[in-house]
This record gives sequence, C-alpha cells and structure tokens, in this order.
Amino acid sequence: MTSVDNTFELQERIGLANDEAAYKQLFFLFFGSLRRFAMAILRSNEAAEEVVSDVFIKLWQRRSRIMAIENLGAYLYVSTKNTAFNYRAGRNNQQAFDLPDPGMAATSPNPEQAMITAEMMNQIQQVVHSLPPRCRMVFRLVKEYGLRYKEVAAVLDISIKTIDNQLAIALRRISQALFLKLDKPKARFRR
Amino acid sequence: MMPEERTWMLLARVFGREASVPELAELETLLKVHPELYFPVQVVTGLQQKEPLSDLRSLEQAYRHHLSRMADAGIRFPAGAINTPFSLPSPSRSLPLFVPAVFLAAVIAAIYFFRLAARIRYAPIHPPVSIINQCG
Repeated sequence: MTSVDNTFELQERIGLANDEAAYKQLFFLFFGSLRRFAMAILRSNEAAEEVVSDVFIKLWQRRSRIMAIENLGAYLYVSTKNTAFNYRAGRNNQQAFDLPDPGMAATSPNPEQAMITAEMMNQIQQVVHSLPPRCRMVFRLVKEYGLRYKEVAAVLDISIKTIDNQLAIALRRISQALFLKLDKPKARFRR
Repeated sequence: MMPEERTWMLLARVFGREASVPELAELETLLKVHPELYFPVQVVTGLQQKEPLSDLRSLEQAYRHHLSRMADAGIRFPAGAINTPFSLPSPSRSLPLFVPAVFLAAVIAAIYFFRLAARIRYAPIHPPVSIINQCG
C-alpha cells in the first residue's frame, strides 16, 4: 500500500530540506507497489525496477518543485505509468495493459480471519476475470495495489464517481457469485 | 438513489477505505433495517487488503541499486543533505483499514446479538428432562 499518512511530511522534508533520509523513506514506502504496477505494463521485473528507479531519479532532480504536487502518491503512480509506457514504446512491445492475475491470492488476508474459504477465493477470482476491463482495473488497483480513490482516478483518468460506481458493480457481482444476492430481499427495501 | 444501490455504493466506499463517519453511520442504519446484508458486508470487509510485510532486505538492495543508477547518471546528494537513520514506519494505513472493519464488525455483532436475544426471548420454555421423568 502506498498513500501513507506521512507522505506529505516526507514531501516537505525532501522539497524544503533536501532530506536524503526522507527520500529513502519515500522510496521504501512506494517501491514495492510501484514496481508491481510497472510490472503489469512491462511484464519484466528488471524493466519495472528500472522504471521505478527512473521515476525516483526524476523526483529528486525536480525536488525544488515537489511542493507543487498536490497528491504525491497519485503523482508517483501516474509518472510510473507514463514512464513504463514510454519504455514499452521504446522496446516496441505493445501488449495490452492489464494487471497480473495472482496478486489477489498473494495479498488476500488469512481466510480464517476473513471467513473466506479457498473455494470462495476461486469464485471471486473468476468473477473478477469476467468483469468489464475498467471495472476489473478499478477493483484490482484498490484491492491488490491498495491505491486510494484519488490515485486510481489519476492513473486511469476517471472521476471519483466512476470509481464508486465501478467498485460497487464489482462488489455486487462478487456477492452475487457467492450466492449472497441482495436482489432476493429486494421487496423488503422501502422504496 | 434506491436503498439497495446506496448500500452497494457505501460498501464500495468502505472497501476503498474512503467511507466517512456519516457514511459509516448511514450504512449502520441500513444494516439495522436490513440485517440480511450482514454477510455481504463481512465478505467485503474480509476482502480488504492487508498490509503486506515489507521485506527490508530486498528494499535495501533495491535502494542501493537505485543509488548506483543515480551515481551513473551523475546525480549525487548535496553535501549538506540530511541523512538521519530511520526505521520503516508501522503500516499507518492499517488505521483507515482497521477503523471501518472494526466498526462494521461491531455492527454485525450487535445485529447478531439482538436477533439471538429476540429468538431466546420468544423461544418456548421446555422443562428439564429430569422433571418430565419425575412427572411421568
């Protein structure tokens, strides 16, 4: 997960005090999720690491303007996306951008804790597979990459309202797939 | 917006860790009126991402590699740059994750408790088997 509460403090320390420790801390906080995000575009761990490193190099070079960035988390994701696409264009590799699959299982909570069985997780993954591309992307960015709404909005260039709608669709479909249909008690809702 | 759609929208906001306190209260009200929703809510909160443990060693390695790329590009930290040691912060995002999850768990528990209490209150009282045998 990325948008850590002290991101703004780190941003200030880098921008106003050239604080190398704050830069390192920011790198530690974002590196893992940014690399996985870049991997989704580049399908190469090495290339993804290079792209994230480039993003952080540019951030340091432009640190005098870092305070003008409203949401540093969103900025880093968008920069990573753009840099990865440029990298890919340079390599003439035009695979479609989609997030890799097994992430959900890898980051899912302990099933006992979550009351979610392996069978349910399989069902959920199947539903996620069948979601429309944008809906799937929103769900995965929130669920697997831990992005906040503002970050998802910046990365996919969509509105917060759209994220609300797409996420609601995804969750509803997952629940329906698990036979937890809210449609059944529809009559009990007051209209 | 229909209550059903509204419920899903609120659940989405809880899932995205964007739900405000009034939205959580609204969801609580909806769950009181529609306790049949409690299981979907459990599933949704169970799906929420847990903070993966940071592998400090691999991060250190990646950072060293990053620094060598910076050096290759001729970029160095200024001589006066502050470089205080630090440890990785505890996963501070677990708080926004934790708060709605606990809130919803409490709501679900309360609903379950009151339904159970109501069931017990109206359940027929059977005399113990030993008394029945004595009467027989």
